[in-house]
Amino acid sequence: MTEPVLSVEHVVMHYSTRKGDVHAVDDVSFELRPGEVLGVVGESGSGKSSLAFTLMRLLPENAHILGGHIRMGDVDLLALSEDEVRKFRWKRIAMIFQAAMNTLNPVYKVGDQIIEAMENHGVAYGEEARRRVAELFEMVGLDPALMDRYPHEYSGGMRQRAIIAMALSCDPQVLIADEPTTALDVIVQHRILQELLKVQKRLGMAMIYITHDIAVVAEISDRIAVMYAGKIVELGSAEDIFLDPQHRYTQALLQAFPSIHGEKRELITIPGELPNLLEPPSGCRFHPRCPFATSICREREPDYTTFNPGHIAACWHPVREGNA
Amino acid sequence: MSPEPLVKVEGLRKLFPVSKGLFRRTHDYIHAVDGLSFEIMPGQSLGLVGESGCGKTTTGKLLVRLLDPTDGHIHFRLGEHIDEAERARLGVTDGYVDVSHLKGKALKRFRRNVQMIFQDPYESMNPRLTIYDIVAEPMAVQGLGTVAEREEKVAEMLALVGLTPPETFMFRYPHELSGGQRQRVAIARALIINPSFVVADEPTSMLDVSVRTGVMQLMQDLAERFGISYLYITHDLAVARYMCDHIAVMYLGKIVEMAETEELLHNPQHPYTRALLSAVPVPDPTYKREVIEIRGSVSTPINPPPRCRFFNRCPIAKEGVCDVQDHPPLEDKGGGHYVACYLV
Repeated sequence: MTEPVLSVEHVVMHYSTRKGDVHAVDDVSFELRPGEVLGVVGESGSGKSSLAFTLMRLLPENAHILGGHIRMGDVDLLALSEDEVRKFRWKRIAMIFQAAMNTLNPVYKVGDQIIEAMENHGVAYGEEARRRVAELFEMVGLDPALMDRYPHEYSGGMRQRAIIAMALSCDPQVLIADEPTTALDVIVQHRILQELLKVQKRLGMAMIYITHDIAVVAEISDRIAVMYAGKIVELGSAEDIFLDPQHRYTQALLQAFPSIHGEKRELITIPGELPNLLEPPSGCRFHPRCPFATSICREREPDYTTFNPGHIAACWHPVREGNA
Repeated sequence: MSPEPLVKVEGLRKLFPVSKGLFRRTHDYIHAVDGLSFEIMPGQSLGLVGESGCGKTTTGKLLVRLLDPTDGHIHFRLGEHIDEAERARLGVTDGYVDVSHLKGKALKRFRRNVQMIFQDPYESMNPRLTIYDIVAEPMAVQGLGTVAEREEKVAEMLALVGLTPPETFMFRYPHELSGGQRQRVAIARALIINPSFVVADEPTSMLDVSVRTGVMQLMQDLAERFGISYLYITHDLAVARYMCDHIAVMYLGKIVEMAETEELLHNPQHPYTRALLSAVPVPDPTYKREVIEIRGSVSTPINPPPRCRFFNRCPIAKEGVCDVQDHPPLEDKGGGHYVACYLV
């Protein structure tokens, strides 16, 4: 098997707040293979965005990485100094943010901002950088003439494309996309997703796509990680997750999600509210909302069980056990 | 005899002036809502779907008269419980009152029958009021009930929306509740004066999936129990499928297609509806869709030219047909499936 481009091992990250520690990312491990799209799906507070910012080492001051390794090749990103990380970030691992509107500086031309990023990282300079930006614009479906326009002259969809071009400008091996299409209308969303996948395939880049929308994840992912309350509760191929889910949370999430396709089946409500990460529930974190929970779920944290090669879930009463 | 519609909308229009220049003179108008006609039956829900800027929220605000229409009529059927004196005050003819130009006291009295639920449960509540004050507010505004009666009613409503026990929620503040709980408070507030019609503007779009289904279910249960009709505004067709009996698709201020929900989803006729449906992601990795591409993106309907609004993006548009006459009328193509297209 080929070497992973990114391997995340037992990463733990907490935010310290006045009310106590927020357990945002709790013992997360996975590998990202070259050229694959890994969908990370979770609700608010599942730790999916915190995970992304940890991978980028772009964390606020109250965030503390308490353990783990993030390896790319022979480098451990968590062992690097701030200066060393700066050389790594954007060149090896880049990110597209949720709030695309705020990523571009309104007083500079869009093209110049991307050129500046490339020059700062020593990727290309002057005319060559301009040529590369024009190429990138074409790749993401923007007219290169738009380079000399300001962000306010762009529509929401165009801005998101420009952000993608910027993230690609330093030729990263890994691209993290954090809900890049959430604010967009569905027709624009569909187009941008297609564009993003096309570019990702063409550059042979690996991508981590973070979203709350399991339908989007189903469309674009090779593999999927389901997060709940700071943990990956299930990881497998898209088919594993959608056709043979094992964790009771994954199962519940799929049953609660409406679709316009196929038979209109009944939606099943998940009882309760999302957990408070200041005091995460004991044992399995889904147990207070899980109809299958028993005493062991309250008391002990489940380990991962392998169901298929590459399909793991941490659940005391997986779906395969039946509904008894 | 088939029941009479609860709401009959005829030729509803709303133009917003665009002011420009030294003297802020108005030359241009945004045609936000441009000649809508539809009906909603009692106890049934109509979904209004479309992309941002299509006029769906404006339509909702017009129906509860948070905005004044430029033109057109909104006929509203009053419930049996409204007495003769009240009917006379509102100017009822044939059981309907035209609320499109009600003012002052009459407008306020009409508002006992309609309520609105907003998208953002974080923005739609005064953070300084307790949950009790928020839920009781419509009663207070309408001068209904004594303090003791209001308190009892609020407790009843909170229990009904699943915030139990009510005493533990009544004197808390919105910031102490989660998004799902807040939206339940918004539902309690909207339903406390027994409206027969509720405009719900993206009520679940800010909620997480695991919480959203519960709120959707609650809205449906309450509608059934109290015979409420919703105008359900959403950009999410999958949610509309579960919440609405009929769906109307809007594009640049016009309804382009309207039909019974499953009929619309399985047998879309208008090229815009088809494109929209084909772009909706499906939570099934084995599903291979047929994508209908359309050009460009949504524009703003400022002084739209007299042609089909979808002309410049339409994959099947015909020159000399679609661009030489005004926007096509919304016509019944059989079985209550309405389409506004010259080529269908």
